[in-house]
Parts: sequence; C-alpha cells; structure tokens
Amino acid sequence: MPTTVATYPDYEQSVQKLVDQHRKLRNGHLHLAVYLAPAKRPKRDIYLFEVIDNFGGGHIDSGKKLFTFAYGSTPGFPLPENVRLWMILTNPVEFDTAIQENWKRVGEIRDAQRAGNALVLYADTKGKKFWNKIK
Amino acid sequence: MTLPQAWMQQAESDFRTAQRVDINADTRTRCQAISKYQQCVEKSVKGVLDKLHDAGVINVRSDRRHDVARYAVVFMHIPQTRQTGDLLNQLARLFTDSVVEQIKLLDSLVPQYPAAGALAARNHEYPFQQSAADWRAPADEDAFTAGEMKRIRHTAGSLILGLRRILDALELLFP
Repeated sequence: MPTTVATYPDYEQSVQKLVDQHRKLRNGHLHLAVYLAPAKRPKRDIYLFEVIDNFGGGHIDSGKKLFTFAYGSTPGFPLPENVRLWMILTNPVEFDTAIQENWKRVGEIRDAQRAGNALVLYADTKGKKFWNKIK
Repeated sequence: MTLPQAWMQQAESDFRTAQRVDINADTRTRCQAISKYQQCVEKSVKGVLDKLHDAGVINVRSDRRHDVARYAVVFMHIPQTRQTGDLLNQLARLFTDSVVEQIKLLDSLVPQYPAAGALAARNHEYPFQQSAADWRAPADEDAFTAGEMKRIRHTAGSLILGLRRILDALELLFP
C-alpha cells in the first residue's frame, strides 16, 4: 500500500507552533508569517515566509533576492525523511523595496496568495499592511 | 541576547567603525580599518560557529585565539546535501577560495610579539621590521596597498552580510 504524502496545508499545526516560537524570540519582532505552497516547487516540502524586524541586520539584498533556504528535520521541527522546510525571510525595509520593485520571490508569494495557497499564521498591524500591499 | 547574537552585534559595530576610518584619501588610517575589518570577520565567524555548536550541528566552538581560517575549514566541511538552497550549503559557499585567502591574510596581520631572534612581522597595530634596523609603523602610507584594502573590504562586507542572515536563520530554526 503506498503511503500518503503530506502536502500543503497538512503541516499547518506544526508550522503554527514554529511561528509561535518565533514570536517569542527577543532578537527580532515578527510582523508577518505565512505558510504557503508556491507553484512549481516540490509539493511535499513546507514553505514559510516571514517578515521580521532587523532580519539580516536590516539590509536590502543587492541582488534583489529575498533570503531563502531549506533545512531538514530539527529537534524543534521534526520532519519525515526527504521533506525540507523552506524559509523565505526578510525585514520590513527590504520587503517594502521588494514589493515596489517586484522582486521574483514576491511574485511567487503573490501567486500563492491569489491561488488560495497561502495561510497567514500571524500578522500584526504592519504585517497585515504588507499582506494587503503584496496583492 | 545569546552569545552568538552578541558576537554578531559586536561584529557589525566593528564593520561600521571600519567603514568610518576606511578613507581612500588617507592611507595612514588603513591599518585602523584593517584592524576593525579583522575583528568584524573574527566575531561574525565565531557567532555562527557557536550557534552551530549550540544547535548540535558541529562539535567545535570558538576559543580565545584570533585566527579564523581554521573555522572556515569547519564550515566548508560540514556534510553538504545536493540542494543548493540548503542553509549549510549556503554557509559553505560564502567561503570561496578568494575569501579564505583574505581570511588567511587577516589572520597573519593580527599583531603578535616575534619569537626570540625573529623579525617583527607586518601587522595592523605594532611596529614591524623589514630588517633588523629598519622599523616600520603600520600607519606608514605604504604599509598596506590599495589592492589589499579593496580585497579585505570586500571580504569583510560579504561575510558580515551573509553570516548575519545565516545566524538569524539558525536562530529561527534552533530557537
């Protein structure tokens, strides 16, 4: 019997727990956290987009790319084998610029939003403004 | 604040200070800028190294020594995956051959008292010797070349930006 592979939004609960942990961190105030499923990316992987105050020292990437990385299972976020957690991280200043200049990754997030494949797991006032602005 | 965050915050302060004294028109402050760029590189690398240790990814942590090239080797030898997007692959990619070469240069410029009978080596802080009777000051106009400055500036700039983002990401993965 083939096993069912979990896909978006099956990991909502565990991603929510991770976001709750990030809200408690002292080194950067979280404004927006979105669990999404970008098109054209492996469906079994998990994608989390966050806007955090002072992420990366508050710098704007000169290559116009939002910082994106993957990681496997960790003690705090256990994952099945071959499933990766992808995180797209930015700070408010960079994200504002990215929206205005329509960076590639912003387009991916917008597409997921329009397709109904994006769940806002946390947004403060600033985060809500960003989420509306991205439309 | 955690120790890795404190390392990184101090490294960023060193970088900003380096930029303030890194003045093309005044070659006599090149030694001061190099000193701060070296400290910036050392502290940012130690921050990420200590975070990886705390997270259980590696079993080495920073010590009191100033040389950093040995830590670059640790980052480059963390087992990598096939995916270029993996965080630890991104960390290893920061340490290109040219970056490691500049780190070795910065390591060599940390001031040290010479061994008995040896000449004092070029460094960014203490007088050094070209021959037994020929002492030089790091602040001499030609103690460091414009090319060296350019490469060191670029190395410190790329490392502080890249390592800060990687440390922030690790803090989210291993809160």
